[in-house]
Amino acid sequence: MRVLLIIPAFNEQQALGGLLAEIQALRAAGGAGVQLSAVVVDDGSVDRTGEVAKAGGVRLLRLCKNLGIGGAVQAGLILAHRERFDCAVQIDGDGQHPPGELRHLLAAVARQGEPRADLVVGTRYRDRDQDGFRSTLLRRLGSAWLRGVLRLVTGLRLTDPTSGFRLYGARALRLFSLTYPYDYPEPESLAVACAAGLTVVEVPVTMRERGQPCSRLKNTGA
Amino acid sequence: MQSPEEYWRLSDGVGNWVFAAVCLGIALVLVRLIVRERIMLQGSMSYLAFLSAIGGMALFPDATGYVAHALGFSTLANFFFCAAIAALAILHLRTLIMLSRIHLRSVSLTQELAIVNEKLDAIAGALAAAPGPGPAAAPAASAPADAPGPAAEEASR
Repeated sequence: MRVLLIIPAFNEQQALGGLLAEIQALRAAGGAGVQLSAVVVDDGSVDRTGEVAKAGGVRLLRLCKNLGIGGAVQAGLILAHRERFDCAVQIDGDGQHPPGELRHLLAAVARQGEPRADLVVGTRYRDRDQDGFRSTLLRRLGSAWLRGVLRLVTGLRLTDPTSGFRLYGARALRLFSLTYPYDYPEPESLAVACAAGLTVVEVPVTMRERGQPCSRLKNTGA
Repeated sequence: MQSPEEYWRLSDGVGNWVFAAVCLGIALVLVRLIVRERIMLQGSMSYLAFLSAIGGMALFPDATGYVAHALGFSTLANFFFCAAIAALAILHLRTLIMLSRIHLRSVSLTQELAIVNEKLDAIAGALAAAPGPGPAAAPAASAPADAPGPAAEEASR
């Protein structure tokens, strides 16, 4: 299975190097039947994010202006769809998503005997026994509100609709390479996927605290 | 003397030519900008239609009064306010749609540019790394380990 890791990054020169080293270690370790490639989408950074990505030995898409997280992720999804990757995984460039947790997302796709998942969302809230980073109370409240709206509008029962750690299967790649929301992409894309009849599943993952304290949902402006 | 039922009749058929001339002047400026390609005809059509409508109202106040009366307005000024607000709302909506289209196109072009640039970098790296005569035979240190292979290039075509 060919998997493309999409790493959207905006001014992440501090955190990106460590993340790319982890990804290279993961690639070196290898996995049964999984061929990992990675692309950093530099979302118009003004620091050395692009240079760090090149030094990290991964592919680099350099956007000439800041498009926000939605535009950056979609650039990676278009690339994955055109190059016929089997699936793509979005990992934040700030190091919040440990690449080691990727196995949980891949396992959800490879699981036999169930409808094949088109979109797998890594949640930090479902498994309460895990020791990972669990976000602030305010963010959890916002997430709860979005959860309610999503459940009301689409019937989806998810615990972490704002999670950016997610896997896109072939059908999701086809859909989102054509249309992807730009304003609040994580929750909106779930509604779009649901409306298009894609199968959305959630798997528990452990996350770390992000390198930068600000939310990227706010960071969509130039 | 007007009958009470014809209170909306404002004049003896002579309209406000001054206001109509102002509307015409603005419309001419607009047409000049279109001819000089400073603004687009498609985006200006609704504004020209708005100017024509209020120019027509100025020229034919009795007809305007009749329409206002038929729509239930007892004061003509209220009708003007409502018509102007509705026209501005439509113009604003139209502008919003056009701006959104331009923004989406700009996002799409930025993404395409990034993808094409990445492919060009990969090709340049591969050419520089290929053994051959001339200075281009030097190995390229910048070619990433994840550069797309021939199969991926074929797929992307």
